[in-house]
Amino acid sequence: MRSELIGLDVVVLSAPFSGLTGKVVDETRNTFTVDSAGTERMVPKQGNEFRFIYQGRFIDIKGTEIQHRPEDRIKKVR
Amino acid sequence: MSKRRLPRNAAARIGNERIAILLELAEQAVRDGRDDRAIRYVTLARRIGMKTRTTLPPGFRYCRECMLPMIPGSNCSVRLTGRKVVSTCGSCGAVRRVPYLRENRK
Repeated sequence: MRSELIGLDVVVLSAPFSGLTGKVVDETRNTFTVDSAGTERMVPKQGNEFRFIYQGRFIDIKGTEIQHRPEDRIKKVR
Repeated sequence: MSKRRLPRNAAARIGNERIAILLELAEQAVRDGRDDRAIRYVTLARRIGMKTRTTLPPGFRYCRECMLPMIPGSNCSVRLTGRKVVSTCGSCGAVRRVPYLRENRK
């Protein structure tokens, strides 16, 4: 998963943020900021699982697999 | 996590795609009045450009000081002084002057 994640719709699948739905508005090495109906919430990548809606398909990813800075994700992931 | 590298042209292709997405989001953010996000997206696009050694599309204008996308008529002014194109950023006030002496000489 090396494509751009900012702007995608996302559902958080794991515990404390479970069911949080919205658009990714920012990404850092360790977190996503999700805009969910007007409120922004920062979700750590570590320990969370995400479901991205990418080109009409659901893609489930563990946060730890994409724990890189967005610009490093192109070269490091997979 | 393994650090297996991609061949450079593959990285550049993905880089270009991501830059295009980010710059579109940046312009959208300016239209929505979210300058903070726009600045963040341009910064990320530039970083991806540096990592993958691709350039931002030459048609895309942004303030070199605060990284805000420049949209004439909305958040910047573009004036001709007879020798230079003067673009002023509407949010930080930075001025950029690009001479056009060659066109004058004709």
